[in-house]
Amino acid sequence: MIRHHPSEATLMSHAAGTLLPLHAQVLALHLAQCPACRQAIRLGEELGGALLDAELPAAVADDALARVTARLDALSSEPPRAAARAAPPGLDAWTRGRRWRPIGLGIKLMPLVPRDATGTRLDLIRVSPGVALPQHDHTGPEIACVLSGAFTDATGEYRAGDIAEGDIGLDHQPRALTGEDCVCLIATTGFLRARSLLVRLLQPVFGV
Amino acid sequence: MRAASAFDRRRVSAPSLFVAAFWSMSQAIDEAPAREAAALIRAIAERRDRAAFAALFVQYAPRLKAYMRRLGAADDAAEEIVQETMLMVWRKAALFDPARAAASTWIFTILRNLRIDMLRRSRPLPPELAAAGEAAEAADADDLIDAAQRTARLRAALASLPAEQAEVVRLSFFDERPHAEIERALGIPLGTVKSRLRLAMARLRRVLEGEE
Repeated sequence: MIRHHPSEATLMSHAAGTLLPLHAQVLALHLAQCPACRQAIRLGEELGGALLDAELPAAVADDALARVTARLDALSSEPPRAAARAAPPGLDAWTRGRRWRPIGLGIKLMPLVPRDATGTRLDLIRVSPGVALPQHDHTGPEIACVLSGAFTDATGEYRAGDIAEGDIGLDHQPRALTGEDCVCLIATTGFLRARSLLVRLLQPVFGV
Repeated sequence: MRAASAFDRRRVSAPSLFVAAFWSMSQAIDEAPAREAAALIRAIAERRDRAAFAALFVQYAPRLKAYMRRLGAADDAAEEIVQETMLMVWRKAALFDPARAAASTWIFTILRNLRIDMLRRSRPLPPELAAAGEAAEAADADDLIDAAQRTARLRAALASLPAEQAEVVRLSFFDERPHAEIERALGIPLGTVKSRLRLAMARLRRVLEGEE
């Protein structure tokens, strides 16, 4: 039962195609399981259509229609089939050929995509039951989707399929609940800033 | 990307002016253009009708180009993506379902996906992750009013939003920076974009459900 959904702002940016690509990657996991948010995306797409209709026409090149018409002949007559919505990959697909790197007691990280041009990276994080991450805040937005297990912080309890969004300035200390390991797919833009001086000193070593 | 940020700065310096230019047109609830466009796409699907394609091109190519320019694309890049979008419209016409989406919505998603693909080619994801990033296509078609009606209502509702709410809708579509960065640039308190957008979306939903 999903309880935590992405913000309208995130959903609209996704529908618009302006969400940071790695953030969209995390959101896709949630959308695959959440009809209500898919409906919101659909509304966003309708808004996109309405915005397109509302545009004041811009002049296109004189030969634009002729050029595209000429290209129609070269196309195969076979229409492309609708792409079936790919099921989100299971944990196995994400982790195949990669390994967990311990970054602290009971905390492991599996880097999936290194920091890109937008300053965003994609990781899996695995936290043992009962273990808390060091208290930290954020210099950029972060979005996480719980794959298994559960965690809690001051903003609530997050379970499989739930989305947790951290904005600039969010200062929190997530703690994995008891039971199984808590595994999250997480896209982080900017950096985490640990509160504790000790952790801050160790941070360059962990690379987060 | 560099061109886009220069564009952003210019826009941010005079947001109200852009909002005014963009939203002040009062739009009557007119479903006719949407229905005509849907008929043209059908004609392409059923008969490979080139006259219908040309008519659709005349209606949408200039708007697609304007949309891309607003997103910060240079003139030639905008022309290029218009070409690709219209070509994809031709190829995919048989997949268009007027009960599910208005023509403009469908064409918008083609433009959006092509743009995402282009960005992705410049910043590729590992292949096993790429499949998960497909934008969701909702298929729930149990609506009380049809797609063309919905779009016409949405346009009218957009035009009637308070300026500050209309602006955050526009920001979601045309500004690729994270919301917190936008807020910093606009000098408004953190969380304002989100709360304004929540209000705007709630209102749009009420309009679509016929409660306003």
